Amino acid sequence: MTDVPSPLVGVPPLDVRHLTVAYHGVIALDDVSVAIPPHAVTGIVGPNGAGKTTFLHAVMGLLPYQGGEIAVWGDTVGQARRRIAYVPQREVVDWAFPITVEEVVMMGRYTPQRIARKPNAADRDAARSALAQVGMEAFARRQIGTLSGGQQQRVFIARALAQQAALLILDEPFTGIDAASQETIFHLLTDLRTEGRTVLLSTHDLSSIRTHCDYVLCLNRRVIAFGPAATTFRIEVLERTYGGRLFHLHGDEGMILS
Amino acid sequence: MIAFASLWGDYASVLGREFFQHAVIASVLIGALCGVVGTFVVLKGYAFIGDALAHASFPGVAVAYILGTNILGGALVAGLVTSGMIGWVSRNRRINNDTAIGVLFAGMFALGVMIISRLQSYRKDLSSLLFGNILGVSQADLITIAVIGAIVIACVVIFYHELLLNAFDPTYAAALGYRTWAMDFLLLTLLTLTIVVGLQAVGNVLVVAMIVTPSAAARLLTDRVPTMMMLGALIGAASGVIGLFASYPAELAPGATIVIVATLFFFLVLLFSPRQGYIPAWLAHRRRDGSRNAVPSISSSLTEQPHTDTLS
Repeated sequence: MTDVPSPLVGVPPLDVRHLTVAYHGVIALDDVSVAIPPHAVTGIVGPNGAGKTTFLHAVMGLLPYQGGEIAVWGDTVGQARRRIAYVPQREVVDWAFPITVEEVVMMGRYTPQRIARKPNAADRDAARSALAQVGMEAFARRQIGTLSGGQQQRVFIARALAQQAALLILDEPFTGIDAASQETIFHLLTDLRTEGRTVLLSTHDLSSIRTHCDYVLCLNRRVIAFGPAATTFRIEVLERTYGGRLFHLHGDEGMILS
Repeated sequence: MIAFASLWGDYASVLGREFFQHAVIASVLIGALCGVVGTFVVLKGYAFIGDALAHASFPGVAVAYILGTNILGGALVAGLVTSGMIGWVSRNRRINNDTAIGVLFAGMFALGVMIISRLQSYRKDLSSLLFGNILGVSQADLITIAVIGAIVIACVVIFYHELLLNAFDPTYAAALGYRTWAMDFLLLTLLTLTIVVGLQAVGNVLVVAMIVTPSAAARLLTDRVPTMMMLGALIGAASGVIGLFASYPAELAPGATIVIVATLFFFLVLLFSPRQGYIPAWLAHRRRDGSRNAVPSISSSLTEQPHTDTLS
């Protein structure tokens, strides 16, 4: 697959300026400004309620925001929808739904510009090669609930690839997934970055940030820090992000980071 | 033997009568339509909304009945007005969707009963409206049922992928730029049309069972949506015909009997379905327990455990 759209050079895939989101008068995101770099894996960390999911949903145009601007390669979210692909949190998917792996991946080919349209040969080719890229082609006819957690996550990544998106947004992709599967998925995401895509994911797994992410965004309603993972991901930054609670909860991480 | 012969005689005589032929055709058409639409109602989790829409269409039925106009038209108007009102009332943040439905469905239903209670023949009229009157289906009714059914099925076929996407992953649909409220409204409109047609067979109170129950049984038999629609249609049509034939000699209410047959189908499948039935699962479990002592198996613990819990 060398069909990654390569839009304007020098324009960040995602440029967020002064984004403010409030639910029922409570501020969820306060004046968030960040430019996500191209061809990189960026991890978003922060405590529960820090606004990680809110940030991702705002970027995909799924919720209204009170202030600020979001540009995707210089376009509005509405203009850029086909270039952004979303991999949902595992908990929001009904895994018992009577749908096969290939039907899920085929949904990446749907577009509101062409409703009431049957998938054609090109769509089937795109779905098949997306499945091959994540190593799941042998499971095409399986019902999604019969797969392991890691395999399910790969199927949803394949859906994003079938969409031929250049920006992949993954909400907590590693929740409920074993370490080996997490490793497989990170390798897949690194490959996607190498072929020119941009990956943005939220995670609770702090130990994987330095090993697998190029950039890190520490979020707690505001931007606490943003930069290359190797230099930004320091203990004092994490303490500010998690408000000092971190090291009671994640004793091991302190050693990895220091 | 004598009882059997006289039963056969009953059927032979009634099958030649036009009203019974109409009833058989109507129950097949309505059962099949309900099974197809019910598939998406079950997958989207709209069973309660369906019940609410059916009850809420009642004042429309009542007004049309008193005015002597087409009952189907009255039900359609009331159903669509209510679906719009549910959306409007639940825009108040203190009232969630569920509460809005609860308030409106009971209120609209009471309004219908109040309107009907003005009539002299209150009890008789009320019961035929509430529980259906499939033995009174006319040729004109049959044509209406067939036309509305054809429109609904055509919409399901044309918008199959959109209905599937919105049932499975509405967040992804919204991220792709679909207007999910429009997709919800499409399903609610198809549901309302199906309710309006189903009223003829089983009435206001029971119509949701015709829509949900055959599809719920079909859901237990397959993991494919197209197969589920076909099985739902088959079970719905079979329930209609079997219920009609079972009710006639015993002089049971045909609408209720049809629903009972569908419910029996559901429980039979729930217990005996080869894939997900409780009894085959229990037998398999017992067999596994027995063999575990003889041949210890570690192969299953080496592979990742499949994810089997369900979110509903």
